[in-house]
Amino acid sequence: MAEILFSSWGGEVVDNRGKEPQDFETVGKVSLPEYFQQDEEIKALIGWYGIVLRSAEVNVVDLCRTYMEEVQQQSCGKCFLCRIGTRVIADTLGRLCRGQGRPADLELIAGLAESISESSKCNIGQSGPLPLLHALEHFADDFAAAAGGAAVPAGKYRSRLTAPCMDACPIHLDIPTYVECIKEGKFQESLEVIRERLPLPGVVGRVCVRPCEEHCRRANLDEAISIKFLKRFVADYELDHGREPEYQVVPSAKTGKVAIVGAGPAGVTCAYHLARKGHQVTIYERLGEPGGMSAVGIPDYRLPRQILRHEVEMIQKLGVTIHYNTEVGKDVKLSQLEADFDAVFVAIGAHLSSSMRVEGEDAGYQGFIPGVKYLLDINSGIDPYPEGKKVVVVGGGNVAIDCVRCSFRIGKEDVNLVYRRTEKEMPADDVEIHDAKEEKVNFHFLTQPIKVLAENGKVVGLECIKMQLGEPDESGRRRPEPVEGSEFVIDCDIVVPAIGQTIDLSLLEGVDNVKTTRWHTIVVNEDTKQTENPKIFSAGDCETGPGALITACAGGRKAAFNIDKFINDEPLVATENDYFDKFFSQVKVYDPQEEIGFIGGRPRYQLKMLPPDTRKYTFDEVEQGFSPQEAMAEADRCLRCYRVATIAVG
Amino acid sequence: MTNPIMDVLRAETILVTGTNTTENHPIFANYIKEAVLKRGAKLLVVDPRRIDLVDYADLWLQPKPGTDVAWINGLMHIIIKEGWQAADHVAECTVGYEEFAKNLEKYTPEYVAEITGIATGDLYRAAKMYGQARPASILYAMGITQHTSGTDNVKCLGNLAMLCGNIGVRGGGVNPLRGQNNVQGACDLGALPNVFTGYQKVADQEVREKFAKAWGLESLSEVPGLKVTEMFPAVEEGKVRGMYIMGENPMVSDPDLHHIEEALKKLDFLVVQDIFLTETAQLADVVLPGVSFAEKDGTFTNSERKVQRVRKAVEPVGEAREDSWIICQLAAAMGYQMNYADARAIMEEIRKVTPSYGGISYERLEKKALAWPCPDEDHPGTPVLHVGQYACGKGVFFAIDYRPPAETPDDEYPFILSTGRVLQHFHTGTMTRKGSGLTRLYPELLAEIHPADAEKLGVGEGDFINITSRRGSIKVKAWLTERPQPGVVFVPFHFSEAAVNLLTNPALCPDAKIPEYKVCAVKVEKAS
Amino acid sequence: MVKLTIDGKEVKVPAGTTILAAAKSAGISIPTLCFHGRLDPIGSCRMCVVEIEGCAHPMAACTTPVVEGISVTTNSERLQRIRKDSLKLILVNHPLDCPICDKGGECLLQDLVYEFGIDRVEYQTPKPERSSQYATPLIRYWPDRCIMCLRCVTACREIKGIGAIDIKGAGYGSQVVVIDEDKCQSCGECLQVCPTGALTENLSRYKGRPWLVKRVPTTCTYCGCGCQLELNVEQNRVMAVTTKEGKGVNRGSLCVKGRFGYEFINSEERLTKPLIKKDGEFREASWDDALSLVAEKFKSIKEESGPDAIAGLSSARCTNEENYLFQKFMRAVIGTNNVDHCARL
Repeated sequence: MAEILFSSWGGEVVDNRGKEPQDFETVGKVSLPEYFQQDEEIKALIGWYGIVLRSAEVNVVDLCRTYMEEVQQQSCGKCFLCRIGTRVIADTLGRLCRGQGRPADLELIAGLAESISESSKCNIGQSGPLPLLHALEHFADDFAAAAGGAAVPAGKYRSRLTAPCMDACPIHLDIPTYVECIKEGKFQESLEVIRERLPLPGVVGRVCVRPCEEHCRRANLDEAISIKFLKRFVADYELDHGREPEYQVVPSAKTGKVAIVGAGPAGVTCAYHLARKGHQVTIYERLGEPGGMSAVGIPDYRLPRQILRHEVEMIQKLGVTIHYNTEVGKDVKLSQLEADFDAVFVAIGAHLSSSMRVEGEDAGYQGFIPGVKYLLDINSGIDPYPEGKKVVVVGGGNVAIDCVRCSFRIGKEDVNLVYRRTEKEMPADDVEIHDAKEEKVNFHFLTQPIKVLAENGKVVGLECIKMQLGEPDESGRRRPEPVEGSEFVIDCDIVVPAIGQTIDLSLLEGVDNVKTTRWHTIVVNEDTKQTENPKIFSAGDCETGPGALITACAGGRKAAFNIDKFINDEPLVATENDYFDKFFSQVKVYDPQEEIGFIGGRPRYQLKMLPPDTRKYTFDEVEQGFSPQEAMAEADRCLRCYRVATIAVG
Repeated sequence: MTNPIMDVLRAETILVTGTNTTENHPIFANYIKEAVLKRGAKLLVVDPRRIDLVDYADLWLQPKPGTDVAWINGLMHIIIKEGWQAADHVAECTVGYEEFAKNLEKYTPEYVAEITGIATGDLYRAAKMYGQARPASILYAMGITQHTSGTDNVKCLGNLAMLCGNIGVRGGGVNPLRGQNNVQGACDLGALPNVFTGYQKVADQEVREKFAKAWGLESLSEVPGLKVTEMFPAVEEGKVRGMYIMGENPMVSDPDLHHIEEALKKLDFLVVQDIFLTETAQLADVVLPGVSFAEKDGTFTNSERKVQRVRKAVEPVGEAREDSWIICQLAAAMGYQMNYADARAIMEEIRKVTPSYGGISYERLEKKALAWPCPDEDHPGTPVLHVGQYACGKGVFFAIDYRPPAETPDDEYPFILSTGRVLQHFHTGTMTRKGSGLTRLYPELLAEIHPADAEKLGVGEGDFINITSRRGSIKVKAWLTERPQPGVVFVPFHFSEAAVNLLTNPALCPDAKIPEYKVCAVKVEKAS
Repeated sequence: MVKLTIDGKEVKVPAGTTILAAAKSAGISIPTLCFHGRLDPIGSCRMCVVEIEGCAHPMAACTTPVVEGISVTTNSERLQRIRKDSLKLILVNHPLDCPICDKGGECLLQDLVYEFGIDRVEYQTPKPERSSQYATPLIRYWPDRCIMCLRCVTACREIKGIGAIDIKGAGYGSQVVVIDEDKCQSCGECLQVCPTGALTENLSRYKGRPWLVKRVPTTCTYCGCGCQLELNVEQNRVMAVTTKEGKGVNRGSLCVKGRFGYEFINSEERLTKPLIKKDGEFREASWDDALSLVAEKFKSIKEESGPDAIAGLSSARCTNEENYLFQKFMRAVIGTNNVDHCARL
C-alpha cells in the first residue's frame, strides 16, 4: 500500500510530511484503500474521524471546502448551529479558495467549528467540523497562504453520507431517518423510508439478525437502539389500523417480462423493485405459500404466518403474479422460462439438509427427520412423527433452535439439543438461545453424534461422544476434538439433524453458462448478480449459501436494479454506491471503542414477552411488540449518527 | 358531562360516538388525540360518518344512522357474555340489572349486524376494547341525541358505563359535549319549562313557594311550560299569541322551517332581542339591540359544568344595551322592579336560590373556575359526578329496545339526510359568517355525498344538487367525499340561504322533545 | 428519585426528568429558545446546553434525562460562547424589521439577543431563496423572520395531532413548508407557539403594538369547551384574540373559531338602535318607545288570553345571569313557565 503522508484519523496524529519514505510512521487507526475504482486512486480522505492524506497534490483548503459544503448539504436543518454554521463555514472556505479570504476568517471559522461540533444535535454537526479543526491546526500554513491570496487549485472529489447502522445493514436501510420518523410519531413516513428499499418490514422486523444493532453507536453509551423492533412496530401499526401501503410505480423507459424462481425474501424483494419500475413479474414457487426459508424455517411463534402472507399480498397488488406449487425444473423447465421471459431471477434458497456423516442417517429409520422437513411439517400444521416424544436436535444454528422450540409446541416431552462446540460458538441468535433455555430445552454442548440407534426400523437413541476444544481453525473458532472413550447414548425416538442446509441445483439442467461453486452455490457477478448467462440472475441463499434473510433481500434488490438495466440495454457495471460500500468496508464506519462524550444511562425498552411456561406450548407470537409510546421513547434514544466522507481522487 | 374534559387523558379506552369532535369541539379533540398519541389510550369511534377522528382510531364502526340502541345493546350483550362487566359495581351500586340483562339476550352480534350493518367481528373487537378497559370514557354529542330515540340512546350509553363500572371514576364517565358556549348554563339557570334554577322542579310546591318568596310574589304558575319544539305548534293552534326571543334564531335552527315561519308570522306580537337582524328578527314587531360577549360581564358554564367569567372588553356599539339591562327595563315597564348594580349582584341572587351554585362567587371565580355542585363557599366544586355513590342513590339500568327512526328511506325518498356543523362555522352562522376570516375558509354551503352515489346520479365535484324531502327542497353544491356512507347525504345547517332545516323532520323524541336531525328521508337530484 | 448536582446544588428529581426541568425545580434558570412547556423537547436551538462532569461534549438540558450522581454546570465561558454563536447564527440574515413586526416587544429572540448583549454578528452568508408559501387566509408566514425552531411543526403534530407542516430541504436551504394543505385548519396553534414574528395573525397585522393593547381575559363564545382567551382591545375595538399558556381547559390552544371568529363584534351589521315595525318596515326608535310598546303588547295579551299565551326563548349564547333574569322575567313578570332555549338544536 502506498504510504500515508498525514493522518489525524481517530485522534491518532501521524505526520510524515517532510520525512523520507523509509522514515514514515505507519497509521494504525485507519486503512485507506489505494483505489476507489479501477484506475481511480484515492489521494485523501476527510471524514468524521479526521483527515488522511496520501498525496501532497491535494490542497487541504479545497478538500475542507468540498467536505464542509457536503456537510452543509446533508445538514437536516433541525438545529441552528449545524444548519447555519456549516453554511457560514463552507462560504468562508469558498471565499478563501477564490482568493477573497481575509486573515480574520481563519479564527472565525475555527471558533464556529468548535461551537458547532460541541453542541450540534446530531452527528452530522458533531462530526462535521472536526476534521476542519484538525486541518486548521496541522495545515495552518496552507490556510494562511490561502487567506493571503495564494491560488487554491481545485481537485476532484467524491462524497457520501453514511451512518454506522446504515452501512452495516446489507440492504442499507436509512435507519436514522426511519427511527427519527418514529420518534416524531410519523409512522407512515417511517414505513415509506423502509419500503424505499425493503418491502418486508413486518418480517424483517421480527427475524432479522440485525447487524445494524451490532454497529449502533448508542451501545458505546449504554445499549444499542432496538432497531429491529422499531421496524416491526411501524409495520404492525399499519396493519393494526387497517391501512395499506401506497406504492409508487415509476415505469422505466423500457419494461419487460421477468420470471422469478422462488417466492422467498430474495425473490419477493426483487419482484417488488421490478414491479415498481413497471416490469411484469411472474414468480414460480415450489411450496404452497410465500416466504421460502422464512416460511419453512421460521416458526409461527417468531414470525406469524399472516404477517408474511400479508406483506407478500401487498406486493401482489403491484401486479406481481405468483404461481404456487410450481417447481421449476419439474413442472416447468428453467430453459423454458429463459426462452419465454426477458430475464430470469433464480432465488431458490437452500432447502436440503446437510448430511451429518454418521452411521444410520441414510437407513431410512422412522423418527429420523431432517431439520428443514421437520419445520416444514410443523409449520404446515402436521406433527411429523406423532409417535415420537423424545427429541434430539443436532446443530447450533437458528434452524436447530427453531426445531427444539417447535418441539414443545407440538407436544414433545423431552427436548434435547446436541452441539459439538460450546454455547459461545453457537451461530444462533443469542436471544433465541436464551429463550430456548427459558423454555427448558436440554442443551448438550461439546457433544458430537456418532451413530443413530434404531430397533425395528425406528429410532431409539443417538450415540454421541464428548468433545473438547483444541486449536483455533480457519474460522477462528477453536476446533472441537473428541474425548476418547466418552461415548454415551441419549435415549430418544426422534433425531433431527439441523447442521446446515445446501442447495438443490437440479433446476439448472438444460441452461447454459450458469456456473456453480464447489459449495453448490450459483456464481454471479457480485456487483450485478448476473450469472455468466446474461439473461439469468441469482441471489439469496442459493448464491451466498445459507445466510441472513436481510442479505437475501439486499441481493434481490440489487438483482432487480440490474435486471432493469439489462432490459433497458444499459451496461451492467458497479455504481459509485457499490464502490463506496467496498470503501467503507475497509475504512470502518463504526468504531466500538469510540468514546462518545455524552452521558448514557437510558437502557433500551424491552418487549413484553409471553411467559415461558405458557408460551412453550403455543405457536402464539412470543414477543409482543412495542406500544406507540414505547416505540417513540425507544426511537428517542437514537443519536442519529450520520456522517459524511469525502475522498480526493485522481 | 360527568367528568372534566382533561379526564380523557386518564382513560384506557375512549368511546367516541355521535360527536365530530375535531370540528365541533376542537380543543376537546386535542386531548383525545393526546390521549391516543402520547398516553397510549385506545380510541373506538362509532359514527356513521368517516369523521377525522377515524384517522386516530384503533377501531371504527360505521353503523347505519339511527341504529344506536342496537349497537350499544350489542356491545353490552357481548360484554356480559364474556364476563367483562364490573360485577361488584353492578351488584352494589345499581338496580334493575336483571330485567336489563334479559332484554339484551336477543341483541346477538348477528341480529345487531342485520340492523346496523356492523360486522360481527368488529362489534366483538369493540366490546372487548371498551369492556376490558378500566377506566373507559364515553363521549357523545348530538349524533346520539338528535333522534326520536335520543333519550333511549343516552340511557343505553349510561347502561354501558354503569355495566363496566365507569361511573364516578377519573378517566371514565358518560360525557355529552355541549355544542354552545352556555347551553349548560342556560339549563342550570332555569331557561327550561319544567324547572327553576339548578333543576328545581316547577311541579314541586315547596320550590315554587321558595321562588315566589325570593321574588316577592304571592305565588308562581304551576302550569308546565312548553318546550321550544312545542311552542311553534302551539302558536299555530292559537294558544300562544306573543313571543319574546332573546339571542336565538329558530328561523334557521329549528326543524321544518316552513312551519316555523308560518307560526312566527301568525303571532300577534313578536319581540326579538339580538345583536344582528337575524332571519327571526326580520319577522319581529320590535327588535331590541343586545350586546355580544365582548361587551358584557357575567359567567358561562361550560360542558364540564365549570362556571367561568366573561368580562367586558369594549363598550356597546351605538345604543345597544346589555341584555340584563333590557330585561330589567322591560320588567319595570310592566310594573315589576328588577334592580341589580351589576352582574355580580345577579349572581349573588342566583346563589341564594340555587343550592348547586351556592358556593360560586365572583371572588372565587377570579382565582379559578368552579364546577357545580358547589353548595357553599368552602366547597371545592365537583369535577367528577357520582363518586362513591350515584347522585340519586343507585344507578338505574333501563331495558331498552331498538326502534327505527321516524322516517326511513323509501323508493320516493331513497336517501338519508343528516345535518350537523363544520369546523369554521357556528350554529346559524350569525357570528361566524359576519367577518371575512372564517368565510374565506368555508365560503359556501357544501353537501357531502358519497362518490358512489354521485356517480349514479351523474353529479360531479362542485355540481349543484337539489335535495328534497316531504317538507321542502334546497339547492346546494355537492362535495364528493367518502365521509358519509353511501345512501347518506350530510348538510351543515349554518347557511340560511339554503337552510337545510327546510327539509328536516319535526318528529321529536317523546322524552326530550329533540328533533330527529340525524335521519330524515330525502331524494337527491342533479340540479339544472 | 434521582440525585444529581447542578451548579453545586444538590437536586433530587423523579427518574425521567430532564436536566432542564431538574434545574428549574432547583430555581436555576437555563436559557431556552425552542423549548415550549406543552411540547416534547425539540432541541433545535442548543441554547440550553450544559456541561456534565466527565462528558467531553456539552449536552442539551431539554432533551437529556437526569442520571444518578452526575454533576451539571449550567454556565461557563464555553457554554456562553456556544449560546452566543447560536444566537449570532440566527441573526445572520434575520431582517431588522422589528419596528413593523407584530411580535416586537414580546419576541423571545429579541429578549435573548438583549440578554446576551449581542451587538454585532461577524458571520456572513448570502440570504437563501425561500420559496415557502406556508400561509393561510388567516395566518401569515414571514420566512425571513423564521428561525426554524420547529415549535410550529411540533405543535401541529403533537397538540393538534395533524402534522400539516414540516421541515423540508437540507442545510441552510431547509424551510418550513405545508406538506398537506388539506389538513391545515388554520387553528393558529403554530402562531400561538411561534417565539418570533414569523407567524402572524393575518386579520389584524399592523393593528396594534403589544404594549398598547389592552388584553381582557374572558371565556370563548363558541362551543361548550369554555376556552379561556384574551380579547385584545385597542380604541374600543377587538383587534385580535390571544390566549395564555396554561390558562383554562385549553392551556394555550384555541381553534379557528375562537382565535379568528371575533370580527362579528365590530361588524357593520350590528344592531345599534331599537327597531319598531310599522307597515311591514322597520323604523329606528328610542328605547322608551320600544320598551313601552313591548310592555303594553305583552300586558294586553296576558289580560286577553292569560300568561300562557306568551312564550319566551332564552339563549344558550347569553350569560348565566341573563338566563336567570330571562326566566325570572317570564315566570315572575309574565307569569308563565313557557321558557326554553335551543339546547336541543
